[in-house]
Amino acid sequence: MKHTEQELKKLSETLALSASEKDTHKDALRSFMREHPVVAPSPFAPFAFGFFRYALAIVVVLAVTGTGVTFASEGATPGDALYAIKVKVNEPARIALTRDPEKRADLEVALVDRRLKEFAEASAREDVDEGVTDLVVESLSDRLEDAHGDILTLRAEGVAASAALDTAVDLYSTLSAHTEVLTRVSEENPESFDDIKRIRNTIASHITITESVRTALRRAVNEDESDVAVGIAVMAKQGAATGTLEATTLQVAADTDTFDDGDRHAVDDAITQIRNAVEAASEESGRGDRKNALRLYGEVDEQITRLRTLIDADQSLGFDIIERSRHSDDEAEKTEEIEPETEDGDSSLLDGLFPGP
Amino acid sequence: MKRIDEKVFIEAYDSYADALFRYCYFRVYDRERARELMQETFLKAWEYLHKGNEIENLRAFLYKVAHNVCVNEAIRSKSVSLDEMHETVGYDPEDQQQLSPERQAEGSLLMERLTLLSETDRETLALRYVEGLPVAEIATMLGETPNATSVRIHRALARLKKEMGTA
Repeated sequence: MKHTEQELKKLSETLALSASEKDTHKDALRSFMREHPVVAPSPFAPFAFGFFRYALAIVVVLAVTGTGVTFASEGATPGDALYAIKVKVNEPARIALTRDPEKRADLEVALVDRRLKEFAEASAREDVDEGVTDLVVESLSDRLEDAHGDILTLRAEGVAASAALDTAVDLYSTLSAHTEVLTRVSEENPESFDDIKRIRNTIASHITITESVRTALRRAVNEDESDVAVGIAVMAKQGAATGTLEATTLQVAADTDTFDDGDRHAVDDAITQIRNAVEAASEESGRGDRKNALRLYGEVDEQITRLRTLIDADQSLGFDIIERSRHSDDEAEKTEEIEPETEDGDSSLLDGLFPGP
Repeated sequence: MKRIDEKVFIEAYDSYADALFRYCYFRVYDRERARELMQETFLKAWEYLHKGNEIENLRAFLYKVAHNVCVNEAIRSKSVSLDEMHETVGYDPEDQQQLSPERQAEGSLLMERLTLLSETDRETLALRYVEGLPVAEIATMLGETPNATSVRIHRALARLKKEMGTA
């Protein structure tokens, strides 16, 4: 066997689960298997199935009416009776229970994304009122403040600047993309205009801070991180970007119910632009300027997040988002209320917050 | 067809958990996430049995489930952070105390060059050379003819060698 093949084979020896990891997963698997037994086929199967359904119904009733209220509220949407429990109880509890600082910051960004998505869907079906909007504004503000706080403390907790930057880029692009979606919802449903405007103003008041955090972290990457560390981050980003683009292409191609030819062309255009950006970043990396490559991959991440958010919205809102976004890129830039006060954000807001290397 | 009960399934876990972990790892380049995806693969496979379905070839089925799980992950994935990359082979020597510095360096270069390949190329090479699966079985997993898979492996290896500078 030749050299490269031998090296590949050796990976099977070095890349493996430890004994304790294997046991941990086996225990979890056994537990799951006990809760979901495989029953041998029996001539009495129809009767057994009927009994199972009856038992399942009792479990569901207990879950909803007993201690399972928080469980049942997880699927609540704006306007539902349990929505307040979801945003004021469930989500803060999840955050509090997430010890790892990076995972906690990522969770907060994911919850911001969820909040905005829920609100857009409720607005699209004209299911929002002042009370719902008050709740969403409060929850969104809390999540954004928590996200900013946690991103800022990542460095203090020893997390690399490039990892913290990833989360800041994710948050910024999530807020930008959802602003686009909400603009579109507002056009479709003029009655929701005032409520949507409140949410957009909430976003606007926080996006400046997000941009400042992003700028400061970019500076920290340039100044503090070694070329080797940045190179490793660049490699990971390339793999992730390629994988996500392939999966997105497959998803849109497969969903012929939601996406028409216009949508597919718009997505193809966006993916082509993103691929060009990936190539540009790859060239920078090839030339040895890995820090610039990392910055370019950050822009790739922003474009991917935007595209994915628009695709999700197109699927869930019932009116055109993607194709319209292709024609209204200029309009999005003119949306002055979300323009930051300075071109790259005022990173002096964060002076003294990042400890030295 | 052999009936798959709890004992048989746990034996399959003992046999294939490492391989499936590596399979997921080469898709997501995140050790912790690869562990979660490996776990999810076994849970989904068992759930399939729990619903009364039968599985003819458990190993092939597990790889197919792992493939779908990884595709779904790609759709919702974030970039791998620098700290997570430190847990990969060759990037954190403290976990590889038995490896010589030369082996660590070789492993690092290989991992770096693998990321330059497409996901399908990485997957194919991992199945063939890391896991040692026969071409016919890989072809079944990918839904191709053995000949097409053989050509794919050959081309992917050539690309990797070119990147490694060993062509």
